[in-house]
Amino acid sequence: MERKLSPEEQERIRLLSDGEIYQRAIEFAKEQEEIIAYRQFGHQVSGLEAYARSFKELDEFVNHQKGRNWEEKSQSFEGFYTALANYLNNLREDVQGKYSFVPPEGQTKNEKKEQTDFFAGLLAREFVQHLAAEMMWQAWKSKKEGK
Amino acid sequence: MTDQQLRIKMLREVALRADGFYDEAEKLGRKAAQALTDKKSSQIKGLEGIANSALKTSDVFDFIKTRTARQKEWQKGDWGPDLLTYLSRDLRTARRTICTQLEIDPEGIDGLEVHLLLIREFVRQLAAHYEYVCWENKEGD
Repeated sequence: MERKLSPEEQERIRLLSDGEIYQRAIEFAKEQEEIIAYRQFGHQVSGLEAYARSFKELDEFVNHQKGRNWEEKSQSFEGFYTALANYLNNLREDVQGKYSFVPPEGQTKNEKKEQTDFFAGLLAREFVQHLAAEMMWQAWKSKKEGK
Repeated sequence: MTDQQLRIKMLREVALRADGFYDEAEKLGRKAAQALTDKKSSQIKGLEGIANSALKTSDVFDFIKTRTARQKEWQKGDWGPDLLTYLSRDLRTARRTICTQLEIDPEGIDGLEVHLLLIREFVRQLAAHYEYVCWENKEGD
């Protein structure tokens, strides 16, 4: 969906990304100690960044990874992707509810879905950027502290 | 107050506060020069570039986090982590003070702009100190 953001929408996305989404990404990363300790998350995070171009692609990728048959040594990725899939679901709901990016009335079901995916995609991209940076940061810090 | 008047007041407050940055900017500029040397000046250019173009403070924080995690030159002397702490914590305090003085919401878009202006000014000063120390070191060779 090609759509130009209004100045007001741009401001709201900037504020959400800098505030709530940034903080949530930090908390999310802190909950992923096992993944971070494993230090093999680089490819997974690169995958997330690549698929974060659209909400649909990201959501499909995350759910695919969640349902994958992980090797025993990589089992913790299943929990990571499950948590991420939950976060994306909640984010999508917030786009319609808490953040009110999508008007509750005056649109067809398809238009509403397209608009929700559009805004959820923009916010998810912000989240993935913050998450990737925070996970690298946490990994470096734990290595430095000899964990 | 019009948008333009507010912008001028924000710039004035940031400029006044920038005097207080000097010591910290010098300290971090010196550490950066020791760690990066003049051979890695592109790292400082990159930092200035992101600070000047960022629309969100978190873009600058993410940049510092990834650089520090990936590059040993950002880890040396802890200047990368110290820079992150200063920009995200100390300048957030400065942001709140300025916003209170100007009677604007520190968590609103103007508060965000104030924080970005503070970051740009601090990074500009840090880059100047970095260049100076690199020049000093060359002269000393």
